[in-house]
Amino acid sequence: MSAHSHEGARKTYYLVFFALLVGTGLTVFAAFQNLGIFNAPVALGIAGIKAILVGLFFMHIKDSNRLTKVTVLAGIFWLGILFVLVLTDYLSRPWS
Amino acid sequence: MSTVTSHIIHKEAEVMPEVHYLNADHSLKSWLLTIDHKRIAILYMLTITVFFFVGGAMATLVRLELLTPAGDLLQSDSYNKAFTLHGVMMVFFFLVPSIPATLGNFLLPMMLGCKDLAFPRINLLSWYLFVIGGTFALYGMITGGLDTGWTFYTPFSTTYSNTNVITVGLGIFVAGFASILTGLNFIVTTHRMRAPGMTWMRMPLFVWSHYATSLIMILGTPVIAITMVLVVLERALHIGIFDPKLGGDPVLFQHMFWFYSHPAVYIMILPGMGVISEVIPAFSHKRIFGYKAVAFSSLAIAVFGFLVWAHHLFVAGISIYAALVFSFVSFLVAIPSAIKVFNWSATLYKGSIRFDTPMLYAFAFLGLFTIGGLTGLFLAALGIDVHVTDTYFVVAHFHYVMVGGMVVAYLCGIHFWWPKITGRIYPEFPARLAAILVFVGFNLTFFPQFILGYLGMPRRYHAYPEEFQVFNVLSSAGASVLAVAFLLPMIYLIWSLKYGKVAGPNPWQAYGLEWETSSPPPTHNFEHTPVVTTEAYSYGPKEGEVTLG
Amino acid sequence: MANRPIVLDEAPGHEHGHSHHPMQQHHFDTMEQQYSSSSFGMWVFLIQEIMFFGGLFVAYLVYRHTYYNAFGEASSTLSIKLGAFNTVVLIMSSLTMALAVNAAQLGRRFLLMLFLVATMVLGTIFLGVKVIEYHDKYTEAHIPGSGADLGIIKIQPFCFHATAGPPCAADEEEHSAGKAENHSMQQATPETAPAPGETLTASAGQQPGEHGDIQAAAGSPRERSMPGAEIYFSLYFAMTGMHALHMIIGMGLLLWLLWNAYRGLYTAEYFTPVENFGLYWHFVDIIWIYLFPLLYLINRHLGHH
Repeated sequence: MSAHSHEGARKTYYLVFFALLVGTGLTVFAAFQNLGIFNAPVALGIAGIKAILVGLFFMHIKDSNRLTKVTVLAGIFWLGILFVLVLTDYLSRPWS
Repeated sequence: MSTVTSHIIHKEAEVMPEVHYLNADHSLKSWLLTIDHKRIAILYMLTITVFFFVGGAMATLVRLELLTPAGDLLQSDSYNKAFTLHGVMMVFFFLVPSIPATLGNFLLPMMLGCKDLAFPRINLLSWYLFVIGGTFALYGMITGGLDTGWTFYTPFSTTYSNTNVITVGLGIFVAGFASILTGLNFIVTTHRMRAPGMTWMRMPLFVWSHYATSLIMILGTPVIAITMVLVVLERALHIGIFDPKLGGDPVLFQHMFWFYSHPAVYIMILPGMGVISEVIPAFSHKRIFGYKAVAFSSLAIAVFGFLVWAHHLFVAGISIYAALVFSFVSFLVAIPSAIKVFNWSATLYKGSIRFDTPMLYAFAFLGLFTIGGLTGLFLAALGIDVHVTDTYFVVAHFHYVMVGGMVVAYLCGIHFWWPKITGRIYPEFPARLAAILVFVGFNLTFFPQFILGYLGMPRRYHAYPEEFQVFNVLSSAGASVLAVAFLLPMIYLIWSLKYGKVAGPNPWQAYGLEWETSSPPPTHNFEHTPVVTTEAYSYGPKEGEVTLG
Repeated sequence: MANRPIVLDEAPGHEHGHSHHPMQQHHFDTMEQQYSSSSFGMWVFLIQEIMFFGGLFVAYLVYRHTYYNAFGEASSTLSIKLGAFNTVVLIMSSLTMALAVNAAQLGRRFLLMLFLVATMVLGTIFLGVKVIEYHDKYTEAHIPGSGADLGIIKIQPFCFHATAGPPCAADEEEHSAGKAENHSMQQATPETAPAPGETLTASAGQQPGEHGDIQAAAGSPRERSMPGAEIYFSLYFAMTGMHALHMIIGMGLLLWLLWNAYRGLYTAEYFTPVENFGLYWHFVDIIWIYLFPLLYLINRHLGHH
């Protein structure tokens, strides 16, 4: 349940919505700029910020209890284990 | 443990309660649409027993074939199907659900002092999904079988095999969701439904181990679910995600498969450890030694278990640096298991030990699990693994932990809580005989396999060189003893339903909320929510503590 | 054996000594316990979903690393306009869903129904655009596999920048549309030197070809296509398909919520299903937020068409 007033909550939703639209536009714009090896990190970084906005405000993680926050972090951490350890194999193969 | 303080003198003959969860309603609909966690546990118990015997029949074929060096009983294709289906049935349809879906479902709410799991209807859905998945797998088995090994390695499973990969794969996919829903239910129940006064540190260790198991279930199973989806898609649509001929990578399949399947082996041991943590204090009449260590080591196993999977890929062509990392962490993951073994052993010390059947199984577990675990360390060492991988050494290792560990613990738990579940006591003599036969038969079956593997006999072969025959014959002889030992409980447990002595609420004089209600329990478990004021396992004073009166 | 009190079983039966909310299930002690359990249960389900999609993402990561160029070229055949439009549509639907939960919280039934309908409409638009995009892939012969004749539709065998033989139909069209220069520039830089990852396509006894080491069986367009492109499209369909499946399930659930809202089931005291569905819907949105750059925006700065 939101800790804000209900009108305050709606205002937050509209602000977040606007930020998400800006982020989408920014992602498309950045995709066409030559940032070298930074193209991918920038795209993923913007996506990450958008995801965090959706999570914190639309999904109310910001106002949730500690258990919910720990649960979300655990999920992201486990995804990280999958990515990092698999890539550990593939990225270190050329050294063998 | 509750607010009622009057004492009950143990009567000469106990009486069954008039109304309990089993006879509350006799209609078929009341069973098939039940939301009572105890009835769902019974439904699961019946279903997994069927799958156990199907898997056992496959094992019988394997061990019969291996009596002679020549491949004379089965053709190689049929042999491949036999060991594959043995593995699929035993891993996915027996071991993974076993203790959690039967004893876990039955006991978790009672041990926590609540009326049911958090989501009773999802619990029922979980059983139906399990039955559907199992039916798919059985259908695939009957209409042609599967010969890829339970590990489904690509591109054999996706391109070259001519067997029912899709059917069985879908069965595993569906059954996986049964597992996920059970784990979800346990986690929410443990967090949200504990009785007043039941803090985390007062929970029985059985609950801790099921909580840890549930973490693995929800975080690991989805990955094998999506992997099976990709395998099925690749096979059905002839695309090339894992097929080298089309640019795919078979090692990626192995990474994705083992990301679940390694933690799955901890799903297949942690609940057993939970049972042992209950039985040893009860039959030593002593507090468990190192409650916190045992509790946290369960969590440590769950977490570390996710970091070691590529030790199954040591010879698959992964980078040597990755292999070193996984080897190191595989050594680390043994530590929490060792901590448990030390704590159980310390609990026994100066305890007042009774050698009832559950305790016999618990002792068997201690020895057999230790051997299984230590041989896992042999395999974690890169240098040794290169030589014994894909030999009978590996087969022996995992049977020691899965059969000598988990199946023994399952039998232990069934015998310990049988009076609570059914209200009857089984006859002690055949029960102890069966326990001893399990121990003897098991060792005779699987110890020779360590030697076979060390000598170089590969796994999954139906014909072998003459010099391996002696050990194979010993192993098959042991398997026949084991088969008898597994059949005996079927007989005397069913016998006890009608002719066994009435158990009463607490025949073992054990501690725990489940022992404070009738046997069998009423549908609602507790009429009034119990209030917990003491620790678990209050069997006697703590070290150095003095009690009066 | 002494000092162990035993709880006696009381007469079976169920007294309603207290009154509780009609939506409170009997195994819960309070509505609060039910609410916090449901909510937590939904979050546990979502992290399970993270791992489910995670498997697809890790496959994507590995293959993008292995087939870096092919992924770039294949990605550029997707329409950014449609992808960005769909992204906006989905973000809007997340807004309408958040507003729906807000309306439920305030007990405003009509507003709740309005926002649920809006979410459904936006979801339908998203799926409609996906149908268009899939159709484009169908006409361009970018559907992985050797093709299939299903009567009403005929799926062509996969073909992407095929070399050493007749080009793909889609490439021929580009030639005639005057983009010959662009195309021949790509032809001039084939992947002759196999990158470390790309040797995984080599099987024993194969000679490295101009375009990687795929076994050329009678030179079918599929075997002559750029290595890795078919894998890209397999992942494209698998990932967007799995996402779309989750959306379709979501649409079904929205219909169920709408019906219940119409019946007046949701009040300011009880709107847990709406809130929990909102979590699911936002999660599906987050998946798309990652799918869009990963599938549509690879190496666009290199100026592919």
